[in-house]
Amino acid sequence: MGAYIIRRIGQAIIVLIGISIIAFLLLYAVPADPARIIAGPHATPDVVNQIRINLGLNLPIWEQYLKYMGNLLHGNLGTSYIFHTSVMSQISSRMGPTAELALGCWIMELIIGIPLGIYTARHANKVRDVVISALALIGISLPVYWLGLLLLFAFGFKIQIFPLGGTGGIYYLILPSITYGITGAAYYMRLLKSTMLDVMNQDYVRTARAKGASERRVIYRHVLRNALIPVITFAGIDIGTLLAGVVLIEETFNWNGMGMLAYQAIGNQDIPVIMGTVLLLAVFVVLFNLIVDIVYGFVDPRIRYD
Amino acid sequence: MSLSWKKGLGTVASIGMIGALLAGCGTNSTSPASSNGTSAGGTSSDNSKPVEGGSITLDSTQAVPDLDPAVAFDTTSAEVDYAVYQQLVTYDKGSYNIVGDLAKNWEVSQDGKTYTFHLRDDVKYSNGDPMVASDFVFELERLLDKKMQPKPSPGSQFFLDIEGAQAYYDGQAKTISGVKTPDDHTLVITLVKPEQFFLKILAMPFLSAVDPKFVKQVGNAKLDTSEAMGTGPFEVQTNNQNEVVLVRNPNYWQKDSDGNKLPYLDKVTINVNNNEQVDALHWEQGQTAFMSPWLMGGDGIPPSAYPTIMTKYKNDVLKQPQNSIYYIGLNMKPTLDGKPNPLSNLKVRQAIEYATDDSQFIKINNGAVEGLNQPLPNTMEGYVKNLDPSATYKYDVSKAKELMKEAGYANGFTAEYWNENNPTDKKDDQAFQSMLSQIGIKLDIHEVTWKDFLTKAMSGTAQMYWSGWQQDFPDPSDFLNTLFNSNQIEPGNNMNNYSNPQVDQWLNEAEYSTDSQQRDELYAKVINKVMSDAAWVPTIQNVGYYTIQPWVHGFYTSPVMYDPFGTIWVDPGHNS
Repeated sequence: MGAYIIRRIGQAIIVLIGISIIAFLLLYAVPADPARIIAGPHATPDVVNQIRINLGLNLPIWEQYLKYMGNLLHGNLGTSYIFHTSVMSQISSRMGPTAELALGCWIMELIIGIPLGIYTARHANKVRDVVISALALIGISLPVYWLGLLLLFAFGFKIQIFPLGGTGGIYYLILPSITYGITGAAYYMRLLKSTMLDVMNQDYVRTARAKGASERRVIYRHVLRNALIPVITFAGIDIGTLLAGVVLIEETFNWNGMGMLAYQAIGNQDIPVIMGTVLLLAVFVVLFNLIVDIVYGFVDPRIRYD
Repeated sequence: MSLSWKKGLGTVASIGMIGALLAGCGTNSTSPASSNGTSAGGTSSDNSKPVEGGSITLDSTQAVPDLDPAVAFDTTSAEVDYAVYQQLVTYDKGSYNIVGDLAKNWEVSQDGKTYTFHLRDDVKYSNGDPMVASDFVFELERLLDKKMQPKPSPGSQFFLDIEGAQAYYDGQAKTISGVKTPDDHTLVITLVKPEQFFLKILAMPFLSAVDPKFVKQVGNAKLDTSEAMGTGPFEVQTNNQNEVVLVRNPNYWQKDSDGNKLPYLDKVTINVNNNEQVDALHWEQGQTAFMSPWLMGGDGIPPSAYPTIMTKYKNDVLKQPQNSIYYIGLNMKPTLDGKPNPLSNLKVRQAIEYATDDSQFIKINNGAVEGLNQPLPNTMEGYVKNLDPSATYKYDVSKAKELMKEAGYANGFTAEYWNENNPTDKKDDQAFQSMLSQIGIKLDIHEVTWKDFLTKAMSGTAQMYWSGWQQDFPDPSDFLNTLFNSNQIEPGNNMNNYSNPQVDQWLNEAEYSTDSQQRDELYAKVINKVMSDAAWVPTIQNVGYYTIQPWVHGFYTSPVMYDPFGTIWVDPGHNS
């Protein structure tokens, strides 16, 4: 197991370097000239050039990349072009709110998605399954910003039981979590349902029933446990992605997290901040993939890493 | 100060980050709000005396990127800077008239080149340090330091006509010879040439009074992000990407007409909330004191909320025509990307003018804007009431088709069109595409981010584009000289490559003329010429909308200045 983890960490570093190169190249492929934009319309060419020098944009792109990576190894993600503060401080100030939101959204997805997945699997092809599956399809198709605005209007403006957006404690967390939960839960429900249906046809399930095990025991002990593996995979990647920011939810609810930071940085062509948020996203996704792989071993004793 | 090229960053876009700033000159406004000088929101206690204390909360669609007045160049930064810093002169309440601010009065020499300002002697920064004349010299040197970190001033060009400024800027002199301080309360500025709009330049936030001791202590970077030290009614308590908190400056010098100390409010909190639909709900719910164009990306009332607010809260809305315009630029370069450019043909451009139905753009904008027939708004000095017939285009598709035929493009052609990607502009683009399809021009629309749009358009390679301009200071020079002088092609402001030696000559002459009538005549010639050359299709003139809670008082709109935090007060019990 130890060797496996070390090998996976090595692979993860290579993936992250690859992502950093691609992100860097993509950012420089866009036509916008940050120096020109920052300087404004009346700036003299001298001023534009000086800004370019200040930002290091006068250097060849490979040199800019190496410089960036060199700083990164020292824990320095650079300075925001627009706000002149360190990217690290910007990111760290957004991590707390994003972690709260990510956890809220994730729990809500699971709370809604898992029971519905079990229920529809147990009642597959019945009217209630068809109805719930249709609702799930609608859930997947709903744009989160639309649903979010609708909920804000209904429960923040008309019936004033929740705040009209903003960042804060659990009171502020409920509406965005429900919004994300409704749209995201449908994925869990469909995934769990289809996997459970597969498992239900397995011999060992038939055997359990033949031995007289209760339906509850069959479902929860034999079916669900074995059907959870793909759900765990999905949930692991999901939380990794959520931790890097939920752009549309944060934007709709004015939640000052990583997603909002990334959104603002893209609008401002603030390359160091965009790079920082992209790399962080990559780190989370890679990290949670690794965690999921390790957790497999505990959920399914047949899986071992040598 | 800054100027906005167009409305954008509707989120971050409306006049956005780099967008808009300042304002300036002019004539008198026609809006009820400004013609009355002021227009408070409330009715219940309009006749009662101002109440000291209390606080208000506001929403802004974007954060403040620059607190340092020397480098601030967007509307949100200017909104905050005007509450924190002060300049030598400013504009009288709700008008274009220049009055003293930190200068009690001033004299101008007969040749129009030397300005002697007599400064107030009772002004202190919020830390208690006294304001003296040399503070302005210090700030001017910062403005002209092109190596200033973390970034040099984008407004240095406005001050290069001060004697010795160019030499200082070029690093050939250690001081600016045209600026003297005979004593602590006298500042003398000498220009190389007379500039009729010089006072308007001084009213922009760039040359604010800053405390040299404080600046040296905290450094430029902190001065721009988190630390501020001005003489204005408020001081900055917090500035980050989530909020700006301003608190009363205990050393503020100004008093109201009854002798009460200003400002009335203890605190102003501006929350950064990109979602303008939610911002509108906050206001409807009474959480925020007002919405204004300066904080709401140029719109004041978000387009999505406009119908509701104008129906339900009409009495709480103030309207202020703005010196900002929108237009479709027609690139006149003979070749673009190595291909012949049909728009270099005058008849083609004129055909486009005739094929454009401006009324559709007004409808798309909920009727919240005004039409435009020239490159100056109708509230601006120099506006031509009666254009020459050759400079006037009425919607006439048959005539447009005829011109296309005469130009040799009877079967039309495909043209590239650029705009920012936002919902309102998208509708404008589709309408324009449909208009031009009637004369055989197929528009290939590119809707990109505001920054990408600017980079493309300022490179002079966008064939057609929807853009805009908002005054830096209210003078026709800021529009016409900046946008049509051929010397502005390289800096990127003359984005359609308009080049006419005769127009250049008129513009250069008007730039340094001290004769107002002569300037107006020269600018009228310029306007008629560029319109008969069909360099642009002027589309709409922006109108600013302000929604003010009935419990907010002392608010007034201005064609030039930002929101008047210093005079606002609220009914007791409405500390939002």
